[in-house]
Amino acid sequence: MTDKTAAKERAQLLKRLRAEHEETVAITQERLKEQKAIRKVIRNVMAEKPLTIPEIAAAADMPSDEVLWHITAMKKYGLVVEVGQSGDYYQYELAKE
Amino acid sequence: MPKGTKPNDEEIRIGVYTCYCGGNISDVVDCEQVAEKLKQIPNVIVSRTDMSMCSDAGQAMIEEDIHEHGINRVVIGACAPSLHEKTFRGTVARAGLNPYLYHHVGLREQDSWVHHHDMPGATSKAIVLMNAGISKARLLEPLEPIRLDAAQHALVIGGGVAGLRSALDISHRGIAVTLVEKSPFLGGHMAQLESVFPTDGDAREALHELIDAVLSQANITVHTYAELTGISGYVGDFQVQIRKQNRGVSPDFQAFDAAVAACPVEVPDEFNYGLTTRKAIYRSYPGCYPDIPAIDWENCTQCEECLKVNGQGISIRSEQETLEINVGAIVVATGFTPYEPRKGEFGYGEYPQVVTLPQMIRLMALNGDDEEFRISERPVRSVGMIHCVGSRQIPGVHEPMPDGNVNDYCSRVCCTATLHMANELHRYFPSMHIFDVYEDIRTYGRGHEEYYQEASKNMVRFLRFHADDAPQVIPADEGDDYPLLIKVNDHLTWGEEVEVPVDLVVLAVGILPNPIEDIINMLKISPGVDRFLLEVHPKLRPVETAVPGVVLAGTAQGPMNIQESCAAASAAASKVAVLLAQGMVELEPFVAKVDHERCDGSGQCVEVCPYEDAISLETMTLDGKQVTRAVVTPANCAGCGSCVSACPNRAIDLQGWTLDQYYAMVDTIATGMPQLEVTA
Repeated sequence: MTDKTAAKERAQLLKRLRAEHEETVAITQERLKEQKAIRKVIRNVMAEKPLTIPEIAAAADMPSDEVLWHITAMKKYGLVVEVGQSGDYYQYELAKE
Repeated sequence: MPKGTKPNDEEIRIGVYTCYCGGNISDVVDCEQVAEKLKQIPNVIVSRTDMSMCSDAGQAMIEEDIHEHGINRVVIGACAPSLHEKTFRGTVARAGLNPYLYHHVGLREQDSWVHHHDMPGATSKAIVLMNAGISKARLLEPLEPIRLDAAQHALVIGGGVAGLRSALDISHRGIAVTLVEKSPFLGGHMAQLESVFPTDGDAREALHELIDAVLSQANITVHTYAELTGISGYVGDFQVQIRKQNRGVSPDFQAFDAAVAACPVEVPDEFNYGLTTRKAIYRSYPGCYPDIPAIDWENCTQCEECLKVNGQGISIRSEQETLEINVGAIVVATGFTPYEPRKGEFGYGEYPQVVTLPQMIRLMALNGDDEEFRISERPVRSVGMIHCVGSRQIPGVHEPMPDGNVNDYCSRVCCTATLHMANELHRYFPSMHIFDVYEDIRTYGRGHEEYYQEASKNMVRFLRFHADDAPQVIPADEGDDYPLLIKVNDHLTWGEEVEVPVDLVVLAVGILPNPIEDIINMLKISPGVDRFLLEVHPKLRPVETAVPGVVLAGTAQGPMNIQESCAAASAAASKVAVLLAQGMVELEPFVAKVDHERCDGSGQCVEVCPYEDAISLETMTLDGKQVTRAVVTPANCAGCGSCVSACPNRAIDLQGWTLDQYYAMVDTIATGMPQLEVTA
């Protein structure tokens, strides 16, 4: 099977899977959209320099426990890295592409 | 087909149980509300709570429901499945149901423990998780464990105290044992010790007693100068290759002393940690096992001088034979190696008066009954002992080892061993001044604190340093009465700078795992960040590795004293005995299964499989045609699911965790049910 045919088959499989779970896909995509918007805000405030969770929370106007939740997830998937400490808090910066 | 009916028209009748976990869950989650809400879900016949579902009463309730209400699927929301999944499988099986028609939801670790600040949220999450579990339960199928014949034969790697103890205990259960020791002699580091805590008994006497017991067992085969070179197979049926080196000396050889005298090679004697030398033909110590000398092939120059003494009984040709054996389980007892301080670390390697604690033990033994203890031709009147050398290191404070590692763990045995040595020194040389320079003293074991108390009574002087302010060992000024000074800021006197004049410095070095990368790779077991071997769970599955049939014994797993090594070795032996005693092993059925009708033999599953021999392509006859299809070897499959995601035809599924079951859970979590919303 050529790469092109394989990719086509995979696309068809995904299409079928989406159709089978239409409601789930719609709901999760909505949630993903909300999450992407939050992540965008977090990424924007982190663009300039390394920040701690309270600093990100203040700049993004979000509760610090929510920021911690997002930063932990972003760290897990290699999107942010821990770079040092400021007082009692760890500092994070965006991972380089 | 209506929802809630299986293909064989079996009506799905689900029993759902929400456990309080003695308050661990119910202090945060409103379990009664959860149970009430779950009653509204289709197919749920009963939904109950209990203070402790794992209790006899809780389990009896589930069994009764199965009998009285015809429950044929069970969902329990409780602690982590790793803790009680097996308990509840037993419950379900006792009631006559297939044990795999049960699903466990982790409400404690996944919910109440992490959401204690948000009780309504935790209750809502519990309902969602339980609902997802119910969706999976509808699709559960009866499964059977994988049953494999097991060779009633175990391999023990390592002939130190842990390996010997394990071998003996396994053999007592009627299981044959092959013990493989890399060096030419048995005993490991215990043979290098003299008096040992906490009994003050003679180490070699106890060791020889153990060795004699091992050798008296007809079902134990010991191979010294031998090592593991290859392994294949799986629990119950490992094919093991062992390379055995010849000793070069026959058992009836009589002219050992003359051969030693004739041998021109002189190398550091590892038995005395390099304090003395030995020849290329050697015994590790008088009375060692085997008592037959061996030739050190790395250092023998094959000059034939030993042959001139008495050629009979010596062969200076290095030969190796490969043995192949079939074993059902493997005990890894590869031991430890003492930390070797780098040159200049507390003066080690720079001043001959600085030695490690293991070297000090050998020096004491070599000193014999002499009333005076001398080092570098000088009597030792004052000795300083420094703790935590190579242990409890701090990145950025301590220099890493050549391999880049920093040993941040406590080696556990060195505190009591140091105090034991201090008391021994006082006993043999009462006029000696003894200084104990420590960071912390951790005499954690039964009977260990007594050594600290005795040392205090013996007028051992204690000085305390901080990790980032370590003592320094410096040469004394010329003409001083003592060759070295230990300079320490003593935190027992609020940081007063103290200079202790000493004739000898003893470094209480830590414990490192032996370098066994080849064995780790062959057995596919895992070391931790500290490089000691990892057990699956320290409380729930002690001494077991993640590889079925491979268990750990002794210091391969972490710093331990002899007592603890023996306890761990006996635990490993028990695991092996339980595993092999039936002549058959049972594995969980959560492995990949191929639907040969859907499989087209593309082999993408084989390409992505991270496990050896877990899935392969085979030629078979299907509907009268010769075809190539993927075939799973269940014993080698870890159920990781890589093949499931790679298969373009959805021809592979994991038994007990099928894609359809996942879809059902995800759909449930995503879409929810309005009537299940939490009420205030």
